Amino acid sequence: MRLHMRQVRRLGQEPETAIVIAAQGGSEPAWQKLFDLHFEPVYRFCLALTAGRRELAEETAQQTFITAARRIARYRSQQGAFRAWLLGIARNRYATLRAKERRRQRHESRPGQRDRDPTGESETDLRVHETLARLPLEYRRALESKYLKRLTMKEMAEAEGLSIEAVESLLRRARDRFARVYEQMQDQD
Amino acid sequence: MNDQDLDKLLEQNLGGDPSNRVFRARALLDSTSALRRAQQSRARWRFAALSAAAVFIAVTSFFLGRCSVPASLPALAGETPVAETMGTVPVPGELVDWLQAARFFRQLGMEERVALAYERASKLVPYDGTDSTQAQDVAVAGMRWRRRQENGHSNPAVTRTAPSAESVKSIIAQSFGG
Repeated sequence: MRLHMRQVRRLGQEPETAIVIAAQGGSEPAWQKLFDLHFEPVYRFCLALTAGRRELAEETAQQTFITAARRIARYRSQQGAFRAWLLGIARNRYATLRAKERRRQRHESRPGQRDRDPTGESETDLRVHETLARLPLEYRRALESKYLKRLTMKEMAEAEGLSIEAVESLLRRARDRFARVYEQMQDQD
Repeated sequence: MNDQDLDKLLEQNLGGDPSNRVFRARALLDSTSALRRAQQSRARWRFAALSAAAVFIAVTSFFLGRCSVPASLPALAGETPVAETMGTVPVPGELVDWLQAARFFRQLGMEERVALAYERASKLVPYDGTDSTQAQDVAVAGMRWRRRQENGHSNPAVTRTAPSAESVKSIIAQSFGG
């Protein structure tokens, strides 16, 4: 069954979940919306994953979204946030690409010469993205608007339809939650 | 973690140049095509699965239907199968002789004698050991020949008069034990 955006709004669920359900039903506008919401952060995550190698990050990000589109019917919201699912795909894609690259390098390079594996060098960077993926949607959006899109308070207030005071309050709560989750992840590691 | 550390951490990891517009558009196009292909593939699989299920249900129903009907239909109460009766009940040789004679007379066109031969044969049909319809068939065949004879199909060469319908009835009644 194909769910369109108008039907999605009528579902009365959390916006992202409803959009994901619509995309699972094959709605292309819903998929484009999900792409808009998640592409930039996932790309940043890929950049962190590849230690700033732009070409490999682009390849990883592209494959992540192609794989996600192909397998979106398998995604279950009970298992975690959609962003976390995307980051999981990105990690797997990156591992595959790295394995391919290593095989090619081993074939081309002289014996004894070892390639540099960037994984592990940017664990802190990856943790930032994974912490963001675990935050509630409103907090994640607030932090991404400020740090990723670099919007001003006024622009954020207009985009969200809130007052500047409300946006400041939202940002404060988002930062507190981010700090808490980030520290929890550090403790787990 | 204080506010300054948090700001620095987020700015370092989320800041920087945005992705290339061309690359972003290509990624959107490719992933949308992948979504479309996956959707079409799922629809094809769903159709194939439904078709297979329908075929399975039809075949199963057919075989279950076949298995629920016994190989031979049960005989009606008190009725002996004709084939069995014909195969086991002995008939007098004279009956066979009279039937052969009736066929011979028919070939010769001696219809009155045909009727007579059927009448004699009907007297010899064993009543207890056979289906009553067989005896009736023989008797009815005799009567039919008789009726044809009465309706003007008689051979002018035949001069002998046929027995009356009453006599045929009495013969049949006797042979059926009436």
